[in-house]
Amino acid sequence: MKIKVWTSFLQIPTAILLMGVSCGFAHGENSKTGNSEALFDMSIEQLMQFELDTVYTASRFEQKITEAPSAVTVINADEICLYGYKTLLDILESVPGFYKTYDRNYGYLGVRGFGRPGDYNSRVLLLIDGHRLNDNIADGLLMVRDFSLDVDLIKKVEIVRGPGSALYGSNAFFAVINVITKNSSDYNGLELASYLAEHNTASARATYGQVFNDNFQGLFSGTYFDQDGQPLYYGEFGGTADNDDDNANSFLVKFSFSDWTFLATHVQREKGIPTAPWGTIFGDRRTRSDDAMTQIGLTYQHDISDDLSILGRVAYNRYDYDGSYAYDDGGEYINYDFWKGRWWTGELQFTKMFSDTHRLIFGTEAQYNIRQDQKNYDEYGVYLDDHKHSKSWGMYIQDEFHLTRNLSLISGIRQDYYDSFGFTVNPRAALIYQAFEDTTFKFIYGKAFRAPSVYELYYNDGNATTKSNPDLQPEEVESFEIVWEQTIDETYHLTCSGYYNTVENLINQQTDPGDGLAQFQNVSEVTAKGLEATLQGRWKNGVRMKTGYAYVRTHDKSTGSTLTNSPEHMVHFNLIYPLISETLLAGIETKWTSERKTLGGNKINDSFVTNLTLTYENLLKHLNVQLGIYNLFDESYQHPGFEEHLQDVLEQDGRTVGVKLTCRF
Amino acid sequence: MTYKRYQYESGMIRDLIKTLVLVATLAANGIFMPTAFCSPPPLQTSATQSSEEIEYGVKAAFIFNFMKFIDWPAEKKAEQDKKQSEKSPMIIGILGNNPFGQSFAPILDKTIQERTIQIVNIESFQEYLRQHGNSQSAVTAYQNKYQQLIQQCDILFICRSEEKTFARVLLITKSHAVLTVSDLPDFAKNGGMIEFVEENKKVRFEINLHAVTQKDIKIRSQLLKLARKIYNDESRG
Repeated sequence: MKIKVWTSFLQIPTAILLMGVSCGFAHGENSKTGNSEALFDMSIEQLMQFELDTVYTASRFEQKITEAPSAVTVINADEICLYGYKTLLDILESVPGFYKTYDRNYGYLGVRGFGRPGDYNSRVLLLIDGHRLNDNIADGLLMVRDFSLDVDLIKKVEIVRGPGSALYGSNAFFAVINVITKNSSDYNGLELASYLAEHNTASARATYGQVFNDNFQGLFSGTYFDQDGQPLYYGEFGGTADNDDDNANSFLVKFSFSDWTFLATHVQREKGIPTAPWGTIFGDRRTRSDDAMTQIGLTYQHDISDDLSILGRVAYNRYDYDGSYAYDDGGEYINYDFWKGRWWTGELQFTKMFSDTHRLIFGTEAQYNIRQDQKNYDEYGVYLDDHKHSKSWGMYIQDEFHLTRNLSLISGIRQDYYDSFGFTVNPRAALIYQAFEDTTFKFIYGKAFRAPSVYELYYNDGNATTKSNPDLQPEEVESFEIVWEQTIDETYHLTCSGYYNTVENLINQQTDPGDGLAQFQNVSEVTAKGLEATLQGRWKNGVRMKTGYAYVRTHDKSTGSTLTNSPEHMVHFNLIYPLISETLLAGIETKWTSERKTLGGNKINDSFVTNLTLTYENLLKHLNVQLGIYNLFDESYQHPGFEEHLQDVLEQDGRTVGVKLTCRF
Repeated sequence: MTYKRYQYESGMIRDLIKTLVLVATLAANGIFMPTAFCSPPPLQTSATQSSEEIEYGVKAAFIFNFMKFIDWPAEKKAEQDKKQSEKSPMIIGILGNNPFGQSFAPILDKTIQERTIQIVNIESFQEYLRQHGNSQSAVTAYQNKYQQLIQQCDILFICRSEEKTFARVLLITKSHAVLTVSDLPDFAKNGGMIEFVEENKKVRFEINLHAVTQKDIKIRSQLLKLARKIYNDESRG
């Protein structure tokens, strides 16, 4: 296996030697020289088309970060490229207060102290170009190679921390993340990328983007990813499992014409599960999961007049999960787990300016779940065959009121209705005070909810070990936050936020003492208080630095202690350093995470992981070569295991080297 | 250690990648020619520029373009021209805490209406009053010091730092053909000539036509029709 990898590596230098003067530059999407010169060559009409850097997600319209009613982080395509991020979880891990957990099957995002084993990423709302992505069975998200987009196709990720239900409804519990895709104009031709790494990892992407005429643009992209993985030793089983393979295909089609945008994304990913969860046969390659997610969406956005604009969205979504688990209870058999979700979403939103002091946004959203099927069976019987369909809708309104030149009040409220539990109303208010030219304070209060998922409501195996709970109520969070944003010397930008969250009706799987069956119930109340501080710096020579510290202290009233898998401290340091100006750049990312509690009541040691990416741009004029070294110092570190794992802790990857080649025609 | 792949042949995948790389190599050598970009991609935050740098880069480009569509009264430049016996430069004054940085650098060697371009930084009026006390004598002292410089400008950009003093600055330029530009809120309403406004992530501008024509400055129709709003009536200040 090792030999195979190295011969693959030899292809790269060979290819470079063979390459003549050729392809189009393919890093990020903008030219890095003479930006302002190019501006003076533009006509006024062109300048008027020019887009400034603003953020959309915080208020559902474009605004400056300092005016947004939340703590916001934006990660751009050039950072995604220069830091060598390969998955969405890699990108999100760099956000203050966020951390990741990987169980060799799915990737999980921890936010502000919450990363409990067994949670399905349902306390974060993820959007792709504004379309909600959370599935309709577990309200979960796929964030590693099973994410709907190749990260190369991401233009920017906007992360709005804090409760967002006043605008977005369910799952906007701790954060709202909007992944914005690139446009055809970012490619203007064909781009090919090829990635090879250890553990027989290979990935290839072909993207074609073209602006056909004035108003019509098309973007097409397909990615293939295949990884054999590595043999993993687990002492609990006294052996090595070789079932860590990961294989994924994804594609994207995007058309935009005038006010209309059509976006279709699809991903299908199969993963071997080497950890022998749920008492399955250790090392058996038949234990694996297969997830597929498709989203087809249409957006219409139009300025009706100077002060009124309309936005409409409709999307069709499909989610399929197939799991197979190999058991040996005296005889070998495979148990099949199966989720099938089909749903439509639609929304209509108006933004209106009243005089110069009020900007009002009001809208309505609906989700119609055509199918929410859960099934579990094997050759001995069918244990679960549940078919549901349901609907939900919401109405929201938000007002941005400029009281004075440097004081504004943003207040909003949303009402949601769910078939399963009825109505819920969630408000948010933020007072934004620009004390000085470079200083802004935000005082934020908000409530958010998470509707119980179909999985939590109805999953049962015929009352053999689990039973359903149709009376589940939504989880609720109430949040107080203060944010301080400060620009220093035009070089540094500091963002500090302190928050206090109270989570109620937290849904947990409990055992009913009456019948010994497991059931999801609203049981816990958890508080989390924390602090996040980030300092960013940009210098004229191209050096960019981002460093931060996050602290969170959780308290679970039912256990009287902190949550499992919740690191109290996190420090991160990121640096982009041009070794040769605009040609050879180094991206360094370092993250220190303090110890985490496991389900077994133990503690995982703190971890210190460093990733290094070297990017050579414009090699032979239009080729981009990257060398990425993940876990540079080969640090041994673990993540907590989940309920289904015999292992209390799961060892994570050591040093892994990869090379990526990107070329445009 | 050997093992069987469950479903996919890894060898096949390896070959696919190798082929892709070789195809790219061959193509690079001649089959596909690099095409020029049909339309330049929207320049956004690059590795070296902050969003504010880009915002003021765009505004600087707007100001440069304004000069192509505006005619100042002939007398203004005439005297200066006579002294130097050649066309004197167009003077862009920036009054206050200058947010432009190096944005104007690329045009310092260009010409507009046969004149070169000169950038002049003028001390912040608001800062001056903060340091010397907000009294009439301080106001007079500032005026005496900078009046001539301000009145000589063809374009005067008043920075956001002048929130409390821009009205006074407009008084200084009252009887002089100085095109006043700013991104202060309500600038145009209060007697300023051109105001930059941000709308939907893009830069727009509003024109107070009354203030403009009072000074005998002419704005050509091509520029007027691109303005988001035009104030025609007499305004305060």
